[in-house]
Amino acid sequence: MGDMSILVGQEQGNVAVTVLKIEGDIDASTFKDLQDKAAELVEEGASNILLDMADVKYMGSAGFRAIHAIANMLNKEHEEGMYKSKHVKLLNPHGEVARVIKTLGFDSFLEIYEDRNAAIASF
Amino acid sequence: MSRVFEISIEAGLENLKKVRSFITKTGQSLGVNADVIGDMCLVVDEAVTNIILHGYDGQEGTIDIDVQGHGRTLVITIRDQARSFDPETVEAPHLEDALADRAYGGMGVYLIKKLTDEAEFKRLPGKGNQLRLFKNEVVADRKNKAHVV
Repeated sequence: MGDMSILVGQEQGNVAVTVLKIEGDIDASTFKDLQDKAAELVEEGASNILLDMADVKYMGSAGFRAIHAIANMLNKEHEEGMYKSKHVKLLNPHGEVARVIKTLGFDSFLEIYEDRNAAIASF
Repeated sequence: MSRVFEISIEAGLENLKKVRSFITKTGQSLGVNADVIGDMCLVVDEAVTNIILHGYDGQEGTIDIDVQGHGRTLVITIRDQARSFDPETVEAPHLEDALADRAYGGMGVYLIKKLTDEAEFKRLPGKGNQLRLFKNEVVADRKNKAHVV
């Protein structure tokens, strides 16, 4: 099936941060795996998720759908209106993935970091 | 003279990677730059995904894709025998809305329109559909290329 894998790690910053290191392509055949893995972690108590995108070679709209769903799962304050998610952030998207994030306007709603420590400290 | 590259796949999401690989290789053969190839992979992936999910909707079928360089214009044609799925009928996503207020979906069609110069959908006589995608001024000019070499 899908050509994507997810490695889960835990980091402690100001709060506990669950890091999902995604490798491969996020398309319509794989996005559900990402969404399901995040849902499972949220069920187990994760409330802050950093998606490490450094090894994502391709992401289509299905990937954004998964990130959108994760942001909604973690929006426990039920914040409405214009805000950047406080609980899901991206690390190191590059190339075409970074370009499509801009094209779809997701950079307005997600904090994007290049430095892992800075990303973890930001939660 | 135009150069044509063709691929035919079974309508399954597991074949999306094969489609993207085909677009990458043909784009490279036509001298298209890497950013445009990336955009075209995205556009074709989204179109084929929609055909699989909304056209064939779980039924078996095939999807034929051909890529041509008409002068400097890249023309990608996608044909299927599925139920018609007209991209024009999909509501545009509200990209300016906050995530919590946005509906899921609709982004694929938005990307197809945004990243191509023209996207022309038509129902074929009898059964099937055709989507032609045009991207202008991206195919390498063979004469110039030869001159440079």
